Amino acid sequence: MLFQIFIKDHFDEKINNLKITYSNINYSEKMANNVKSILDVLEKVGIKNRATQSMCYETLYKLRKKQLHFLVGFIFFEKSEKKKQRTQKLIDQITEEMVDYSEKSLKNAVKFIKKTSK
Amino acid sequence: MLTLKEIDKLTAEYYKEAYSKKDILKAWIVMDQIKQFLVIKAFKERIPLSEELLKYYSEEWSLLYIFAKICLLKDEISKRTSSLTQEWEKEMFAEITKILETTERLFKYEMVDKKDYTLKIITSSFAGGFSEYFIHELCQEFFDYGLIDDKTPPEFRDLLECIKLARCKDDIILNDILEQGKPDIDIHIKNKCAIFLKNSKIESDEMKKIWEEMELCAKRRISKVFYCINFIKNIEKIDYIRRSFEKIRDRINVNVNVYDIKDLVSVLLNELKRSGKSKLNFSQLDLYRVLDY
Repeated sequence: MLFQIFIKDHFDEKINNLKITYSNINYSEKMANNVKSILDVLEKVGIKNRATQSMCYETLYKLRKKQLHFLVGFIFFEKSEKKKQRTQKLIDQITEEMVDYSEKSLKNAVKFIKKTSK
Repeated sequence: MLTLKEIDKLTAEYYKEAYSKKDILKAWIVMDQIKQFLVIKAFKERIPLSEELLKYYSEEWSLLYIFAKICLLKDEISKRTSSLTQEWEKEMFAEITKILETTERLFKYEMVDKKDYTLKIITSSFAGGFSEYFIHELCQEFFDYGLIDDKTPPEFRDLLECIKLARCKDDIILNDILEQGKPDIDIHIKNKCAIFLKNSKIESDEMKKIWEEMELCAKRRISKVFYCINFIKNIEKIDYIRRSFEKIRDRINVNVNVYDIKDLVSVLLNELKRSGKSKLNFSQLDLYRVLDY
């Protein structure tokens, strides 16, 4: 529960209000790394808190979605072929991760609901 | 909570197809799955959906649709250029191809594989008229050969039973006019039910017509009504349509069900296939395109 409040306070609102630009893309990546660290801690400590895990993956998904929209726009205006190719590789990686995060977010939520309804 | 996470999962797949694999036609199919999911959530589970969310998918679909058309037109023009004999015609076509290439670049998508798609010129009312005719034919086929058993899709069982239990094939009537000056019933199964098909965008005028149709059905004691709507044209209206039908249910004592036209066609075709009577020698996907999907 504490983890959930922490994530909601520290990330959820910030991400919802975040408009990714060229200057703060690293900041958004730092946020993603922080959320991944929480997931790591949960795993290492052996806490199987499905609701928190689902929330973390949803947060990562939201962040990646914002990054994706920025990068798609970036490619659109970018003239340099080299930069375009580099950004496309990043887009490929981000879309893969979005599929993974959204699946994990849903899977953990389903498990949490099953457990609580028992 | 789960609904939004399921939407996220489908949207992630859509992004992968559209922005990573750049398979616009596959992205289109995923977009259709999203639409189908939203329709089920709104009409079967009666979950309210935010206007902002629906608008997003509606706009995304419109952009995909126009982009695909531009790509295909460019492709067709560039293919035809070589067969032209006069120099000025060749120059004109080359110029148009260039302009379309520039237009294509205005979009954030790319189309890698155009497969064997082509553009056709048909009147805007064709899809509506054709879907009525085609679904009527499918209903008559189902009356003759369809099966009602434990494999019948439960959400369509009511409708399929109405078709199967019609007294005779001629009781399944296309565009039946019950009262002059009142709306006609697109497919009327006498003493059983009425099926209305809405292939266009549902604005307030169309909703007024739906009220008239429902009042007519109540007056003529048609107790079951099935509305089939083209939801791909109405993604942003899903919640408005859901709320409107809730009001209708509250005021008019008629049992009303809402489906997507594509889902009804798909169920009828699959059920005919199950009974060994499907004769389609084209893909269902092509058929949906003709039905304006």
